[in-house]
Order: sequence, then C-alpha cells, then structure tokens
Amino acid sequence: MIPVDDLISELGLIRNALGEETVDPSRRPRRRGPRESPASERVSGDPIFDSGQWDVTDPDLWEEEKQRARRAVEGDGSAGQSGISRTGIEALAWYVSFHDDQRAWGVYIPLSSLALMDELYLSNLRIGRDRRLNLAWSALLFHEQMHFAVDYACAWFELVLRAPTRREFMARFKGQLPFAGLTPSEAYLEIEEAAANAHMLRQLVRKESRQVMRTIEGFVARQPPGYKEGLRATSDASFAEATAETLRSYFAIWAIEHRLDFGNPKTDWLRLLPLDDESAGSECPVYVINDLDEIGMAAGSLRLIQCISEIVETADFERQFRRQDAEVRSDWGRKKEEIKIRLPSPPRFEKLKDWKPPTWSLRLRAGHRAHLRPPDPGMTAWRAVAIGNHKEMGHG
Amino acid sequence: MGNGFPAPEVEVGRIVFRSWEHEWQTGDKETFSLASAKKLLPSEITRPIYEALERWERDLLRFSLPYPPYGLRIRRAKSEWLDLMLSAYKGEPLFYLVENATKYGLEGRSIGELCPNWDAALPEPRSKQGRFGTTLHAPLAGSNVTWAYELEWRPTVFPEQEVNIDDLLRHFSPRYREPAIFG
Repeated sequence: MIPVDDLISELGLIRNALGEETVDPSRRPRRRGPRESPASERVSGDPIFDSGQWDVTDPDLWEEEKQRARRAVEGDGSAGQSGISRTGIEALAWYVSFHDDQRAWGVYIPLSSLALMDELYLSNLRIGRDRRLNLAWSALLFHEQMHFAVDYACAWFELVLRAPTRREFMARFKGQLPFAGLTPSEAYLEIEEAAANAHMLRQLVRKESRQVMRTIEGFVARQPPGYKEGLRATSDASFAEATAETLRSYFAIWAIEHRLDFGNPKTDWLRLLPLDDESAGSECPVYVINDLDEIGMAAGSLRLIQCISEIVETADFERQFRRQDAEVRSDWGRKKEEIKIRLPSPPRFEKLKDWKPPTWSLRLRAGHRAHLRPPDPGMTAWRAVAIGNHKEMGHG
Repeated sequence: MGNGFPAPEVEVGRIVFRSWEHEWQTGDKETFSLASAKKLLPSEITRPIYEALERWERDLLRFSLPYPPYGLRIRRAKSEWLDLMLSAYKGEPLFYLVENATKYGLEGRSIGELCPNWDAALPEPRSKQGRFGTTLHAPLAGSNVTWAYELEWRPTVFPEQEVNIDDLLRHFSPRYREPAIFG
C-alpha cells in the first residue's frame, strides 16, 4: 500500500486536488456551542477499555446529551435546529479527509460517543460494559475506515487522471448549483453511508455473536436514509454494487471527461479499496477525543488503555516474584517492556470479571499470570500486585 | 476556459418508469426505478414484461452515471456516445437502442402476446377514480405494452444539447482559467 504521505505529495501537483480545512478536526458535530476543543490522542492497535470508575457527575446534562445524541444519530428533524451538523454514525465519529487536512486527517472518535452509544443502543446486551465499549469502538471505526478507503481510491484515480475528483465532488454538496432548477436531494452521499455501514456489519459478523449482531442491526435500522440501507448491502454482491455505485458517483463527470467506461458492470471496484489490506488499518490515523466532561461524566469514567508505561511492584508482588523460576522472572521483565509500547489483545491481557478492586491479568509463559491494578485517581503508575501460575492466581 | 481540448457535451437527466400498476396503487403516474414501483398483479402474470423492463433499465443505468447530490444521472451527449460505442462495440449502436422499446421486444406488442391470462388477472372493477378527478383504466390484453409500461431517459436541463461538462466542473475543469482582473 502506498503511504498516504506519498499520495499527498503527488496530489499537491494537481491543481485543486488538495485544500485546507479551516474547521478543527476534533470538533464534535453535535457540540453545542463555541468551546475550546478537547484534547485528542492518537490510538494504535486495538485499545482496551476500562469503565471501572464510571461516574455521571451531572445527571441532567447526561440525560440532555443522550437525547441530543439520539436525535443526531437517528436524524430526527429537530436535531438540525440544535446545531447538529451531521447525522447517522457521523454524529458519533467522523473521518477527516487527507484531501482537506494534510496534517490532522484521520478518524476521530470521542470517548463521549462510546459512552452515549453504549447507553442508547448497546445496554441491552448481556455482556460487560467494557466489552460493549469495545464493540462501540469497533463499529464506529469500521464505518469510518470505509470512508478512508473511498478517500484512498479517489486519490488513486486522481493521480491517474490528474484531476481533482474528490474536492470537485464534495464542493457539489456545499457549493452553488451548476444550473438553475437543480435541487440537492441528499445532504451526504447516501450510497457511501450504506456501504460504510455494510462494511461495519460485514466485519463485526466475523467475530460477534448473533445477539450482538441483532443489536447492531437495530442500531443501523434507526439511522437516517442511506445509513440504514447498509442492512441490505451486506451480501458480497450487494456490497460490491454499493461500493461500485459510490465510486461511480465520485468519478462520473471525470469518466465522461476522459471517455472512460465506468458503467461496465463487469468491473470489480472493490479491488480499488484498501479494506482487506492489513496495512490500511495502520495507515489511517485514529484519534480518540477526551471529552467526557462535556456530557456530564467524570474525566476518568471511561479509560482507553493503549499501553502501561509505568508499573510499581508491591511488596507482596516482590515476595511472590522471588519464588518464581528464572524463566518466568525473565518473561515478566520482557513483558514489562512490551506493554510500555502496546498491550496484547484479550485474553492475553484482560480485566478479571467482578474482581474488587478492579484487577487485570497479564499472561506470562507456562500458564503464569501477573495481576495489575490501574492507577488510583491522580496517580499515573499501575501496580503489579501478584504473580504466579494460573491456579495460584485464582484462575481455576 | 480553454486548454486546447474540447469540452464534451453531456446530458443531465433521470430515468423514469411509468407503470399503470404504480398509478393504480399510488396515484402517481411515474417513479424513478422498477424497484420502487408498486405492483398490483401477481408476478407470475407480469413476469415476461418485467423481465424485459429490467433489461431495459439495466441498459439505461449502464450507459449513464449517478450525479449526486441532485438525484440525477449524466451521460455523454448522444452524438459523442455514438462515436465511442460504434468504435468500441464493433458497430452495434447500443446506446441509441437503449431508448427504444423495440430492442426489448415491447414496442408494437400487445400485453396479451406476452402475458397469457392477463384479462382474468385484472382487478374488478377495471376502472377507478384517480387523483385530480381522472379515471384510471386497467389495460386489457389487447393494449399495447408501452401504453401500460414504459421506461424513459428524461433530460432535466434544457436545452439539453447545450450542456457542457465545464458547466458542471466549473473551476475544477482542466480548461478553467481565472477571469482576468483587468478587461
């Protein structure tokens, strides 16, 4: 996969292909008023969520924000009057194109959106909240990755045609009409939103249970036109057609300009989208926005854990550690360094169910585990509290 | 504008499906696709007609492209497409024929020729009050198919011959030149 930075360099040679977005990319579409933008942080890999200190500090604001989010996601008519600029999934997460912002492009997911999506659409699931938050994260990310894939395919065509395809296309949605009498009939490209939701459903069904999928389908069904049609675009054939129609929508004028036969039904357009390419996931930056205070929640209510850079070993841990054989001790040393960079996926690192205080288990070699506890409020270091084989550690 | 290359002429329009069944069910004469049309008769009766209509619609879609966000489609102006298609498809003028029901075996055919037992499947009574005080009549087996069902490419920008692609591309056109500040 060609790095996006390389594409940007080439696109810069095409007149009008790149623009400069003036809106702060971390600004939430359903934000109420002019406020300072919250901090955003880049996320890599699969994050782990911890809601052990879930705390709604302003119940009135929390209720108000839930209603506001519901109206935005479901495209309720009154939502527009409250200053919400996007509907459907884009009210929860969004993709900033590298055509518009060459420095801060990528996918943006606010923590508030995970909390609200969980509360509004996932809370009936019989799985723990941390797991539901992870599901919300995956759903939003898969949807936005489709927009990145379309953006990437546009760039590829732009380089071939030397034409500013994407920016011309987007200008139609906000610009003046080319002819008197034309009326915009859609505020966003509905077929692209259908394809993005279909991609999300197609990815989630690979790893989620039927019950989870029914809940996610219910979430999609409540979204506005285009988004909800994703439910009908999940088969291979219908997904390919939705993708083809999305790209035809972007390229139609240029196909005519260059006498290209884009209507040919035997063309496999899916091949142009980096959806199955593993590097696509790492090529597109993902940012999490820490904005929980804006929906009436305490700042540490929902934590996204990417790495553990600081660990304090308690006296109990040190005593148990001395009893371990050399290979386990050495493995702990190695793992401590690894988790400073990235946490392993569950179950290699997972929260122990119903443990008080909240405790996480890190798998070591030969069935051994280390138990870790997250930092106390105001502290930064995790605590290593126990180490031993899985029976000694109460794993049964 | 002008970079030495001529700007292609285009048609901006939409595909329209006219169906007596849809009008009978909804009061609207037309809809924008076969899939969106309401049906009245059992599909085993109307299948031969709809199969031909589906081929017709597929070709209309094949030779035009979506033009969002206006709910419209665009295609090269007929004269330019003919040149392209005649060269690409060994002389078969595909594009011209997509607007002609003859290609799909519908023009000049009666409904009864395609759909046996048609009259027996019609609703009783065979006429009813439509919108705006008009009377709707269910077509009998002797009626021409294209009287009851028809697909059409309908231009929405007039005069259609004068739509230039640079009107659509505006300052994104490769032929665009910034207007001179002084004269």
